[in-house]
Amino acid sequence: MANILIVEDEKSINELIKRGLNMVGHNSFQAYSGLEAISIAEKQRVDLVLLDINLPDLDGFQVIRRLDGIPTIYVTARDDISDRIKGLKGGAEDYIIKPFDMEELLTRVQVVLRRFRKEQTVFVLGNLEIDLKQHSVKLNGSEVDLTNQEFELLKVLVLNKNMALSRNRLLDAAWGADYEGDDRTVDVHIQRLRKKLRLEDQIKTVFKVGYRLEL
Amino acid sequence: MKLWEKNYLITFILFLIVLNSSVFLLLALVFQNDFEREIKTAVREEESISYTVTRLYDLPNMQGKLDAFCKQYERNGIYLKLSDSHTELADTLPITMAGTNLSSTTVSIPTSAVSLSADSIDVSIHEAGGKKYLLIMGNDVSEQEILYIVYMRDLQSIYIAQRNRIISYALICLLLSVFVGTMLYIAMKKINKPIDNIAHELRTPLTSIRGYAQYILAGNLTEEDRYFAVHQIVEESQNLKEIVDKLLAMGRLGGEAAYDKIQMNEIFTEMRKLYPNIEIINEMRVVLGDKTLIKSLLGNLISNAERAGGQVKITAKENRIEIQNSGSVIDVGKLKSLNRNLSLSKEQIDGTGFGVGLCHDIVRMHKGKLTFQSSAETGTTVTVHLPESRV
Repeated sequence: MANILIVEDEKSINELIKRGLNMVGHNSFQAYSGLEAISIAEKQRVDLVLLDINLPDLDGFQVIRRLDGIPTIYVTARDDISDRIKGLKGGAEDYIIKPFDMEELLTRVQVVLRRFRKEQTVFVLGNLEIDLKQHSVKLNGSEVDLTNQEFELLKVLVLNKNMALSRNRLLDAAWGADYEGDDRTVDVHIQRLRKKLRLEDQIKTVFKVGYRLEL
Repeated sequence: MKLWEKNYLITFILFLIVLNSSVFLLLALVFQNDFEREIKTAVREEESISYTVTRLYDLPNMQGKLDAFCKQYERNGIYLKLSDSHTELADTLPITMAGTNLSSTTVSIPTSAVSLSADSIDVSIHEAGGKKYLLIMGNDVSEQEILYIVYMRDLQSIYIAQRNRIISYALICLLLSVFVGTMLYIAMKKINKPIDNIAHELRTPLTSIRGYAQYILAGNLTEEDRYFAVHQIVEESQNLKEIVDKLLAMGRLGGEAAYDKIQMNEIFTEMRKLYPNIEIINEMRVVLGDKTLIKSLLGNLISNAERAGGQVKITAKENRIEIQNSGSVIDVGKLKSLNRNLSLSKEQIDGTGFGVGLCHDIVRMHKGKLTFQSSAETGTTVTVHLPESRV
């Protein structure tokens, strides 16, 4: 999992991002000012920075220049096109506007990490080993046969572990947004996954929402 | 283009249309008035000339007298051609014209002028050599003869006057447009600035509320985490409420505040509920003012004091409300800006940046004064001085 530096002067938002990242298994460092962020980045191995633009000392545009090319995503309330362009041209990988959607933020983090090959591709859950790159799933060391949909479903659950995912979201992820299946399709495939991988206790049904992989 | 810029443009264009069309109408009216007066004068003058000429005609040595008479008028820009049925008696017309081709020239005579004249008079406008002349052809009867009189008046002066008026009015319009345009721009931008700030400021609590709500919805949380998230939501909703209150207060700004009776005990009880950690000593009973605004004023000052840190203490007596805090000291430059209600630089602002301006506005509406003092020994004191008429 990646080490992510959160630079945000608003304490409650900083904490919120931290909790979101920890939920899906990332490590995070919290900085409340530009200078603090720079000093943390010098001492720690940081894979990704989430950077606010309005900071009490330096602004985000100044901070990014002193981060030595660590992949950075701006998270800011500034929604002017000119700021967005300035941000992206200044070397940021992405630009997220507040108020943001937690799931979207996590997805964008994942995309940037993937671009820099810092995304985790092998997950070990107890006696289960999942290799997203190799498309392989092993239970107690022996390969388990999964259909394409089952694998995609598992992948979404693993990448968003500990987060409740709606049936719709799972349907989109595993079958594509065009697929016109209903919620029952998801339920059926989840049942099969639980059975094949012995994940009856780990894949929880979230009442009225969908499913969550708990670890 | 932002909404306020669009509004500005529409307002400014409307202003230009109204200004220019009214100036154009005014100029047209002035010119028409000038023109009619000129014609009236001319008709009257022609009548008196005609009268004089018939008298002169009957005198001995009339040729010399008529010549002198015509010369005298020529000097004033009035040209005459006199003839009887046989011969031409005098001619000072600046342009040659045959009596016949005059009918082709424009005629636009105000009815009020025509009514003055005798029915034998024929009035027309004649243009020659780039100049405009008013032409009156008439005849009169002396004792012996019918006299034909052509009266020609140089109209150039009123056209020149009109041209000069147009130039000067155009100049005035231009200057006025630039002036009004700039003032309007500054005013609209100034109104819009706090709105921009508010929009930004609303996003912070909104981000937290939404984020923590999603966190509760999606996550597999412990009781402690859930409590933390809910607590954040409650706290941020309070922030949101404060911003909305400020907005409401801003909507009431302007003019002099009302003289409603405000029970200060009530206000301070509310403040104590909102800010349980502050110390309040209240000896004030009633303030005459706008309740919403006074609440917003105190709320703002207290929340600023709390943000500065340290113990916050409020003392209200006689005509002063003092809000003290032992937190961080405000430096001299910023203090000066705060006292004079000057705008602060971006680095100096902690929060929306319109709170103090709002406080100044509210106090000014109550004809009071707001002062800031700060030193390392005494901490920071903000004082609201109210006039005697308000307490």
